[in-house]
Formats: sequence, C-alpha cells, structure tokens
Amino acid sequence: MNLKLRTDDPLAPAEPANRSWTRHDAAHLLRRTGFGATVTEIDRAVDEGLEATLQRRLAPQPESEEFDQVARLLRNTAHQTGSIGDLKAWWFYRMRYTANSLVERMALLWHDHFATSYGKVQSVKQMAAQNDAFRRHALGDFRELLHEMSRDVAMLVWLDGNANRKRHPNENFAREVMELFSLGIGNYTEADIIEAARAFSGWHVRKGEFWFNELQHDTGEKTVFGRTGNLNGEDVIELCLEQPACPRFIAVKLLRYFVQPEPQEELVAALADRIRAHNFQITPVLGELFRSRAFWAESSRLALIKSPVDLVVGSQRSLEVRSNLNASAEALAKLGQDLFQPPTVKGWDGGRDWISTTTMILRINFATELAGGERFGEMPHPAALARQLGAGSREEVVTQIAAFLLGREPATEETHELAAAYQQAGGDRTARIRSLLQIVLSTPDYQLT
Amino acid sequence: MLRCPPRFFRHSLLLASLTFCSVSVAFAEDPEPRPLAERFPSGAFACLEAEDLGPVARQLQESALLERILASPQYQQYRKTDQYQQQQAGRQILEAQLRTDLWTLFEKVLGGRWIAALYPGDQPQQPHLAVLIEATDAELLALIQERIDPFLDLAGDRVERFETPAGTPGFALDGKLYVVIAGETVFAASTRDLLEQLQSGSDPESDPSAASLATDERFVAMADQLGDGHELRLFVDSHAIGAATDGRMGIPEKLDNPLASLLFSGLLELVAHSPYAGVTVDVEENGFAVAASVAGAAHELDESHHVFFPSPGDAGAPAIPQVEGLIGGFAWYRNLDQWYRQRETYLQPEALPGFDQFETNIGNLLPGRDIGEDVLPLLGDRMTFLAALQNFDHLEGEPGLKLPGFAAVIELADPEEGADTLRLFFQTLTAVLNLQASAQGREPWIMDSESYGGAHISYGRYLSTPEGDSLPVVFNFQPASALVGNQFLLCSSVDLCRELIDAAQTPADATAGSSRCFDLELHAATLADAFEKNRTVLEARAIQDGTEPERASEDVAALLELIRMMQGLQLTTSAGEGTYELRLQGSWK
Repeated sequence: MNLKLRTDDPLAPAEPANRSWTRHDAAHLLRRTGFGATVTEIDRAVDEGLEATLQRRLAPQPESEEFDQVARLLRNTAHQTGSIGDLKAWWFYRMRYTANSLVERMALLWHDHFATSYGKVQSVKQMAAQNDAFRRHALGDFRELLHEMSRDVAMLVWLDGNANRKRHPNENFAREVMELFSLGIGNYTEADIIEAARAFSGWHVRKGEFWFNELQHDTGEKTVFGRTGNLNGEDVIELCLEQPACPRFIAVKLLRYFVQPEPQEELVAALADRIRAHNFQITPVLGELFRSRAFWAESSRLALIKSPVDLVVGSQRSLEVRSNLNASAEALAKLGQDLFQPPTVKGWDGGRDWISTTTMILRINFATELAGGERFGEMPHPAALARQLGAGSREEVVTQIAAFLLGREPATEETHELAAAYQQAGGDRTARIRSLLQIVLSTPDYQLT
Repeated sequence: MLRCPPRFFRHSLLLASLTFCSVSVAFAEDPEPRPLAERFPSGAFACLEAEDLGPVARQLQESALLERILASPQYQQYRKTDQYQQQQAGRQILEAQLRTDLWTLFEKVLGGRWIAALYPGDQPQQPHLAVLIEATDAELLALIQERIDPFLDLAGDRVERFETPAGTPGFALDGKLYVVIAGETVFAASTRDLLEQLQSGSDPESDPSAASLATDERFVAMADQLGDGHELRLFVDSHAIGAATDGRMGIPEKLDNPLASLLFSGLLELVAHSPYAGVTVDVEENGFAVAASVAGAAHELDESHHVFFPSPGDAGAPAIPQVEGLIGGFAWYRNLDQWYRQRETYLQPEALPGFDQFETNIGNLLPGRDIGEDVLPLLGDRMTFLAALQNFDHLEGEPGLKLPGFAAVIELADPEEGADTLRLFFQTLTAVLNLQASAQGREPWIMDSESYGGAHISYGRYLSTPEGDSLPVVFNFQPASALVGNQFLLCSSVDLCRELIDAAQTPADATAGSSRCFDLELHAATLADAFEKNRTVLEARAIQDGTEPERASEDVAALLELIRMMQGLQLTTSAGEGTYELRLQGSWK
C-alpha cells in the first residue's frame, strides 16, 4: 500500500496516496482488529476502503438471530451445568462467529489485563459476569472498567478481598490495582500500597455479591500519591488514573497487542497523550491508532506472534471451519492460553513466550488436524477456497492460498517449494489443497500476524 | 368255513390296505423337519443355528423403527457420503443380477433354517467351517448359481470345479471354501472332506441315530437347557476350546479394573471352567429376548469366587423398588467385604495401588475407621442403585440442568453399627460440601430430620430456599438417609427417600431375587422424560461438537423419538444348581 507518512508524530494518520488499498492492507487491518479474515471479508474491505472498514470495526454491528440464539443457549448451558468447559465453549463461539470481532478481541485483552482465574474463583456465574463487564466496556471507558473491576465479585475472590479488614488490611488487591491494572511496577511506593489497602478495606463479597462491609472499613485518614484524606477505594482508583504512568501503562498494552512487540518510547508517549486527551475512552484511541502511520508502517506488518487464540480462532474463521468448540477450547489450553484460567495474576506474558519447542509441535499438529481431519470441525470443500480466490491453475492455487494465509506475497523460492509439495501430495485436487493448507499453516511465518 | 377269501374280498382287502397306506403316507409326508444338527458330524466346538429369520426380517422391514432410522437426520447425512453411493451402486448391481431385492433375497435364502459350525482344525487358530442353508426358494438358488457361474469362470485358477460322489456339481474358492448347491440346500465347508460329511449326513437314507453334532453330549445338554424353536441359538463347547487352548479359553484369571472385577470376575471364572455354554435369541412382535446359559455350578468354584454368587437356595439380588418415575436401576448380590479382602485374587497388581489412595480418601469421610476392617463387614450382600425423575419442591423454581434423583439401598449385616457408620459418612460428606459451598458462594445445607413411615429421615435442607428458573446443578441435591429394617437408604432427594420407605413396607415379590446375582432394568419412557427435561443442554452439547444449530435440534428430537419407541430393557443373571443364566429382554411399542 502506498501510504504517505505525513508528519513526525508516529500516530499521525497515514494518508493514502493514489487511493491504493491492497488485499494485504485490508487483511492486515482485519486480522489485527479481529481474529483472522475470510476471503469474503477481505474482498468487502478492499471494496469499501480503509475508512469504511474501520468504522465498521469500531461501531457496534448487529448480530444475526442465529448467533444470539446459540450464544444464549451456550451461556445458559454453562450456568445450568456449572461447568467452566461450557463457558469456554460459549466464549469461543462468540469469538468465532461474532460480527463484532474487535469487541471480543478487546474483551480478551481485558481478560489478560485483569487476569482472574476460575481455578480459584470456582464459580461459572462469577466468571461469566466478569467477562460480560469486559465486553460491556471493551471499546468504552477504561475508567469505568477499572472502577467496575474493583467491585467485581470474581476479582475480589481471586485477590482475597474478604481478607481485607480494618485491623488486618490485606494488600493483594491494592497492589494489583497499581502494579498490574493501572500503573505498572515502579510507579508507586510501598506506602501507597499500604494506604490503598486501608482504603479498600471492607470491600467484600457476601452471598455472591459485592458488599461494602462498613464495620470492616478503615475510615481513618490515608495518604496515597501525596493526597491525604478519608480515602476510599473509588478515590484510590481516581488517584491512580491521575498518575502520568497510567495512560502510559495502558498505551504499552495496546501497542503490544495491536502494533509492535517492543514499541518505541516516542510511540508510547504519543499514545499515552491520546489516552489522556480522550479521557480513557477506548474507541477514539483505537480509531487514531488504526489510522496511524505506526500501525501501517512496514515494521508493524507481520510483527506480532499469533497468540493461541489468534491461531486457533483466526485459522478457523479464515477457512470458515464449522468449529468444534470443545476441542478448540482444549487446544487453546494446550497451546498455553486457557480461557478463564490465566496462569497468574499477571495474565499471559505473550509475545515470544507463545513459542517453545512444545508449543511449536502442537501448532503443527493443530495445522495438520485442521487441514486434514475433523477434530476441530468441518472445513468447507477446500476447492471452494481456491475458487473464492479466483485460482485456477496449479501455480495460482499455490500462490493465492499462500498469500491469503501468510498475509504477503510468497517469495519465488517459497512458491517453487510449495508447488513441488503440492504436486507430490498426490490424490485429487481436494487432497492436494488440504496438503498445501497443512504445509502453509505449519510454517513459522504463519505464526505471525 | 372259508379257507380262502373270494377274489372280490381279496381285492377289497387290498384296496382297503392300499387306501390306509396312502393315507398313512400322506400324513407321513409332512413330518417334523429333521434337525439340521443331525446332519453335521460330531465334534463341533461351536455352532450357530437359525430358524425363521424371514419373518423377523419382514417385521424389521415394515417396522416403525426402521422407518424412523431412515428418516433421521443422521441417515440423511450418511446418504450424501461417497461410501453410501458406492454401497447403493453395489446393491443395485446385485439386485439387477438376481432380479430381486436384498430383503427378499435374505428372506428366501437365509430366512428359513441354516446352521454354521466350527470344527477343530490342524492348528487351533485355523478351525474348519461347515455351513448348511435350507433356502425356501429353490428357483432363486438356481438363479443365483446361474448368475455366479460366469464370475466363477472369470476367477480362473482361483476356482476349482468338482463333482460330488452323488454327481452334484460344486466349486471351491482358493482351496479354502467348498460349495455345493443342491435344490433348496446350500452346503459349504472349508474342506472337501467336511463338505462330503455334510452331504452324507443330509442323505435321507442316512441313519438318524448315527453319531452327529445332535448326539454330542454337551450339545444335547445345551439343547435340553435352552430348548428348540429359537430364531438363533449358539452353542459353544467350552470344554473342547479350553482343552485346545490354555485350559481357560484365554479368559484371564485376574482383571485390571476393580469395577469390571466386581461385575464379571465370578462369571468369567465360571465360563473358564464350564463345559459348555449356549445363547438364544427370540424376536416377538413387540420385543426380543436373549438368553444365555453357562453350565457349571458356582458353588463348585474355588471358595474365593463364591463371593459373587448367592448360595443355593439363598435369596439373591433384591427386586428393584418400583418408585414413581423410575428411570432404571440395578441390584446385585456381592459379598463386598470378602471381595475387598481378597482383591489380590481378582485383580492384576497394577490395579492395586489405587486402593491405597481410595482408603486414604474415604478415611477422610470416615474418621477413625478403616474401610476394610471397620466398614465393609457391616454391609450385607445385597445392594440396589436406582435413578428416578424428581420434582423440585425443595426449591422456589428449578435447576437449569435437571438431574434425576439417585438412591442406594444398602443391606446391612449389622443394622445398628452399620447405620451409625453410614450416618457418620453422610454427615461428614455434608460438612465437607458445606465448606465448599462457603468458598463458592452457594447456599449450604443444614441437617434436619423428620419421621416418615416409621422411619427417621435425616436430610440436608437449604438454609434459604433457592429461587430461580435456572439454578446451578448442585441444587438438584437434597441428600437424605434413613434406616428401614436392615436397609440403609442413601438418597439425593427427600422425596425419593420417602418413596423408598413406602416401597420397603410393601411385601417383596416372593419370586424375585431367588438365586439372582444381578438385575438391571431401564424404563424408556422415563428415560426419555429425563432427556426431554434437559433438551437444551443436549442441543448445546451437539453445537459444541460442531453441529449446526438446526441439525442439533433435529438430532435431539430424533433421539428422543427413538427412545420413546422403546418400552424398556431388563437384564437378569442367576446362578442355579448346575447352570448360570443370563437373560436380556427388551420391548418396544
């Protein structure tokens, strides 16, 4: 894409020159703001252009009747059975079939950010309620989300809220609010944590709901970030949001999630300014981010390692597989991203940590099963993919499918190798295409987005 | 006085004699068909006899069940596969060649009488096979022979044609199967010699009292035991098989699964030492019955295996209480105490360490007691487990996932101490679950009690009655226990406990339980009701597995319809004086 870069501001919009807007550009936007992209979605994005496509991603889209019915059925089943496996299947269904991919993608980000594990909470109802909050505020107001999380039942169970009492303050929640949810390490003192814990005392759970236990709340004077008063939890959160470190902390998260694994200081500062300017409203921040030259820079293309969700959900969406929700959710767990069960309070480290010898083998196994088997669901006739891409000859099939999956034109040498493998695969055209899919999905380059 | 009748009288006498003889012949022309087993040489170690499968096939063809299966979404999906297309193509070719459909082919060829038997071969793993089929349509057989002849010619060296001593043509395939079609009869065998023995046995001139399969001692015993006139009857000469193998027909002495051992160790040991066994299958208009008989007296096995069988004359497994909404259950006779003590006799070494963990875990629920020494000896030999539909009167609403109520009826050898021990278990379990309830933010139980039917019911009720239409699954449970006579009731609902107390007051069926080892029953209507109550969960499961929503709904509907076509299933086993019998019965509407 010929996007002319206008000013020195890394978040300045990249301006289209000659109004060219390639399939790879469209795919880059769709994949970063969702999970994978079908040929049809890419075609539509190419037709509509960057701005219209982005508007569609940022604005709520109506879900189909079938989606609503099935999502409701799966959600009710999870509540009825009390099985976290059923809740995982529900969320996987949402990510796979929603018309609002960016919402689900942000919900996943907040799930990682406000990491809470069913392993300790042991309540499907509470985990589902927390997940709803992430979705409700996905593209909304981070301030509101942070406040809501401070009273979230699952969060309070996870961080021992009921142990935080007037005479014996428990610092778990206060520490994580500062370290993991708003400021990051080094941007608060131990004294701030101790005082903040006092402010959150009495924020308990009773009969499965948030309860302000007045008798256990410390009403004395506290000093947090140099501000003194009879501070309560809400006050502490507002003070955290006021700190300069807060928008920076959120900026780093967003940049690592959507743009580059190691964003430069200039970019972080610029995005932090945007977050502050928009008063923590996520939609306008993301709008600027997705229009920015930083997002469209060559260095940002295929720069992120696909998380297990990106890989599993994205591959199934792209290939329009009728997903086996249970098997797919299980695959996520094996690949290191078990929904509703992050490993620690820090969530998932992500990035290069997604790839190890073990997980690479598992990713290859996933590719093999997806392309050739039925374990993860039924794939439409592979030849249909070739037709959608307008690929007729053997060379076209190889090139087009590789380009579609890899998000770039394959190099000449790659094309030769893939063509040779395609030819050697044997069997009919369907078998060869399946073989080609399996090979491409297994490549190191496919693990990038 | 006449010395010699006049000619007229001689002629009349002759005429009368001839008339009498012809009438006698007319009656004699419709005798009982000769048992096919009489035509087989003696020494078979297994044989399968079939009779009148034609009407069964016709019944199946016209049945609502088959109609439903063919209309089901699964079958419609299968029809789109390449495998189905190939099968249909093969079927059409065959039907065109034979000028008849496969149902009619089955009815006319295999719908009459046939028998297949296995004889010892030169090597134990290569027995000889002999088959005799009495078709009901000689013309069709002739047509089949005419149609396959060209294919036999095409097979070249693989097919050898020959003529029997009687001059009947036959053919052999790869030297492994010899076949002769003579009129309405098909003879087939894996050796030429066996084929000729079959044919000579079928000679109407042959001596019916000559040695044959029908005169083999164990076959006769089996036939006496199970009777004639079954659609299918299988005979296994386990003595002969045992002699040719390891003496136990390959049946292991020890199993690697404790539950399998509890259920099957006794039966397997009996089979390993049994001289013969037989199985029959009967099909009626609205049901079927499979009966198996294993010769051998359970009390003649080594003492360690007596734990699986009631003593002769002893009352065996109890009858399953017929409570309202009964879905099904099973009852057994097992000396659990002795089984546990002697578990090393029945189980392979790798299955034993699990018991250490079991004892540790169960010890937490029975403080200060050892399961083997202090608990199992208190139990009697009879236990029943059952499931029944439940209402949810203990809730203001109902759970989302509606489970049946479950119950165990445990006979106690020492009612007083046994009841106290089980109550201890019950109370400790409730306390542990309440601690979990606190951690998970759900409603705990408090222990309460009531008197009912002369018994004292202890049960857990919710501190506050839960409200809602889709309550968590844990609210299906309202644990209850009671002692009635020497039976301890452990139930997941108070209502079920009350019903079992009522059932215990009703005099038991005197014929039930006699020498019975195991009894299982399943009621299709209530099973379907249980599934119906959870229809959405079943649909959700199908969707989770990748089925499209509409198809998921159709699949569940088809499953429920199929279950409702059934009435029930019952399996009973009993150890008689000289035999062990198993009977499986099913019925449909």
